[in-house]
Amino acid sequence: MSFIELKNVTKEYVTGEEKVFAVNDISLNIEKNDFVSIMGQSGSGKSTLLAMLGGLTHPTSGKVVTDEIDLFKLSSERLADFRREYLGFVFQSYQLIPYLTVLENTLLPLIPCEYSKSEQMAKAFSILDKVHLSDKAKRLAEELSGGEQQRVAIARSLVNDPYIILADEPTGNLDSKTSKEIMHIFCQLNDEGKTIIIVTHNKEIEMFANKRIYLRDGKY
Amino acid sequence: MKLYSISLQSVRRKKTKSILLLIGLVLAVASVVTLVTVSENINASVATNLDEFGANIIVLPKIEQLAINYGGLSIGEVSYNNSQLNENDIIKISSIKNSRNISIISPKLLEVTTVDGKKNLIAGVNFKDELRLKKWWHLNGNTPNGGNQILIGSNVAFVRKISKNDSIKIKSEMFIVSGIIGNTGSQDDDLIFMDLSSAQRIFEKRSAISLIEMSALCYDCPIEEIVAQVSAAVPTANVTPIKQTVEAKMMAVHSFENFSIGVSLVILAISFLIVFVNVNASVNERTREIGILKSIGFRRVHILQVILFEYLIISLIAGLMGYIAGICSAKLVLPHLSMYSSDKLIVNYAVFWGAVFLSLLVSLTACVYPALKAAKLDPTVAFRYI
Repeated sequence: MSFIELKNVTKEYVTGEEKVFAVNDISLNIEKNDFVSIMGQSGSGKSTLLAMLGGLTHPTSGKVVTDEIDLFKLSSERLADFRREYLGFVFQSYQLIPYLTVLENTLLPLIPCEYSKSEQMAKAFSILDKVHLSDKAKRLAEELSGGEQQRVAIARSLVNDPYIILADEPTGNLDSKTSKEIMHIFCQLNDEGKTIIIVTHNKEIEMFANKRIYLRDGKY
Repeated sequence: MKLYSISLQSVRRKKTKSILLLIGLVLAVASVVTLVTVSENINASVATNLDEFGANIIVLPKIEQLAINYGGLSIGEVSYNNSQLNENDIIKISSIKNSRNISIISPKLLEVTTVDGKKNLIAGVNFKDELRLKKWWHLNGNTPNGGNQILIGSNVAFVRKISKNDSIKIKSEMFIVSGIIGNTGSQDDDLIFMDLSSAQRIFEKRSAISLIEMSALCYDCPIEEIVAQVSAAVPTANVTPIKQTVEAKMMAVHSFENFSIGVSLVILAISFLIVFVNVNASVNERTREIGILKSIGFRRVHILQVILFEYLIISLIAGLMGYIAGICSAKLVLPHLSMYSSDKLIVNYAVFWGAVFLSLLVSLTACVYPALKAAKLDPTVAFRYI
């Protein structure tokens, strides 16, 4: 059995009297340590697919199984625990909490866990070292450049040591040099055994992936 | 880092909003504390003043009477088993459980005697207590100072043509009229008042008392309770509350409380709405933030805690500051109120805990709905902001 399995997953929205299929009957398997790119035009269903992989959006039909856990059979609380344990999210607009420092943003996923302060600090600084932001730990997130904010977002997604990184257009707001730096981090993470699933428009990023998924009108 | 760290940082971040909300809550708590403190102080002041406007309990010896009829014709009543009051009964009354609620005990010995060939009613009293009890007396002359000085009612002075400083003979002793009581329109106008011990001596009724008038504070205890305690302490007496006086006192005292309770409820309702609107707006503004927290694995209960803790901090500070502001404002307001006539502010420390509790209650109940709404937010809202 694959690490992640999507079985006949459909997500349908009703707009007035019209049904729109954001994702239409997709089945796919993703193995541990895969680097997956999901590409497609705007509105092709990439982000919806990523949201379902992350247990954020319930499919209208079909199922998503990760590590033999049928995500949408879990209660909302257990699903929250699953996200904390298995997943790290990286968003296009970084989605940091602007009034918290770099360190505090990085520590966020650890708050619901039973770590002591020293354990929290050790984990956060080891990740911030990895993304070269230890020296800016006390700065407010909103004071950083776009590339730095995205590195904080990556640090936050890694601090819980998740199995899977889900990234939605992680380089969408960055220049090409910073994009390369970010992609370098993702490659490094993949080398360390993380499963990376990236939604992107960028064909250069696609080159890093060992599995490529093209979506058109919600279909694979 | 703990959940409350996020709440603290959020409060710091929204300084202006947090301060405005804090001011709103402080004003509400301070207003309630002021009203309660002013009301308590006025109640105590009014109760004390009213209690000095006359007796509200009369203690008389128990007299049992039997009506005698013979052949359908009433031939009068026969008294039997008559008891007497004496000075020991005053000690007993002074030691009842609610003795602190008794402000004045004024014993009297009433005797009829002939003065200058005419019969007159003599009242032996303790002048100090009697004058406190009858503040409406206007004396033409001085307060008796010594056992041989007396006061006489206005009718006695008029009929017998007695002036102050005149001497009159009662029984075999001479007494000096130190003052004449102005017209009161009561039985006092026809009485001669002398010192209780002098009256007991000249009428040879050592330690005897005819009746006791009492004034009891009824601010925080029912008058019936005091009556029952006095009856139990002096079983040979008939203890009667003067209901009209008691109820008038109680009405005056409680009208302040009712007023302050009514205004406090309105203030609390307004502050509830202020907090509710504030939290609701805050939750709507923080939709993205809540979505992020949920997408990285925060449970509903964690979101609830983050929001509630934020308002818990504000309401605790508001409770504390509101209490201090309320007590200060009560101190400033009370001297300007005509009904208040005390130098010392009564501060009830239960009001402090009440202020903190009220502040927490108002804030947290106003927070519950918006906080639950936030906790139930769909985490995909974080994606919608991409």
